[in-house]
Amino acid sequence: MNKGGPIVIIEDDIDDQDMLRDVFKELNYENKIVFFGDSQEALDFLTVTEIEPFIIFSDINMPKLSGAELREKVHNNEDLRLKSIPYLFFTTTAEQKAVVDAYSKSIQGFFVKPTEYGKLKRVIRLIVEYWQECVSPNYVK
Amino acid sequence: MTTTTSNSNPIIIIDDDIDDIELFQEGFKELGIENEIMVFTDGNKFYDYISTTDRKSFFVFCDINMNGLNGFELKKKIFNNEEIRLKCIPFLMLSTSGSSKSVLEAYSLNVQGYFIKPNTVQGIKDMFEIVVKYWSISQRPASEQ
Repeated sequence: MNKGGPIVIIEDDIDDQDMLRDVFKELNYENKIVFFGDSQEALDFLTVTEIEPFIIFSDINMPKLSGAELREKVHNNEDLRLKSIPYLFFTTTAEQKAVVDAYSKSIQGFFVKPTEYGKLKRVIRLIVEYWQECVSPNYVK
Repeated sequence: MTTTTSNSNPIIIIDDDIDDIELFQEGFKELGIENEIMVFTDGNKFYDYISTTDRKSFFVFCDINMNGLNGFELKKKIFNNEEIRLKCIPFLMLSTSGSSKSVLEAYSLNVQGYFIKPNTVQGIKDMFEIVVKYWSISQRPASEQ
């Protein structure tokens, strides 16, 4: 986690992307907001980037590489795993099995995406505040 | 002001510094948090408790510098037992220092947050308020409340 780094959002749904884009625009954080509609592209980005992200939000239900498969790949690669903290799931449903599996791969939060704009904004603000309060590991390879 | 929580399970504090514990309790009280606060001043006693209890917790806050079993040793012990590991989520580290090495080590042991101990009641209230709100909305294993 790098508090000045980009906020990475892995989300294939265009409507959800648009709503998140509006929320972040309104919240006006200094961090760059980077969207990936394709989880494979997100993995490629995380693998090569030298700028550690501030927070990673990932959807679960995505074509090709699902959010759970992507997390598995990140978790199994130490460099990638240490670069990708905090890693949060941001998804439509929260079945108990998915939640347990997610925490077994060392995530730092699992949120059900609010569908209402005002609520989404409150949730995003709270998540950002929590991670601003936490200590950043300043991971250097 | 009262901070409402959506989770009525106890909040667990593992810390052997009595002054800090008093500050934490004062912070929770001033925030109007009504959850039971369970305090363990010995990491081994917490491990014994969590190994045998059926009770869930809202979140676990663990100090790093403790006599006997320190926070890292305790978290390692928990990490190595899958059943207990799932019972201790979220597990949050609290320390007076935040060197890069210890923060990374903590996250490698599957913690959900690492905080520097605030030294004022106001600082503690601000920290707990955010933690309580975050874990009131984040899902966790067996989060039926």
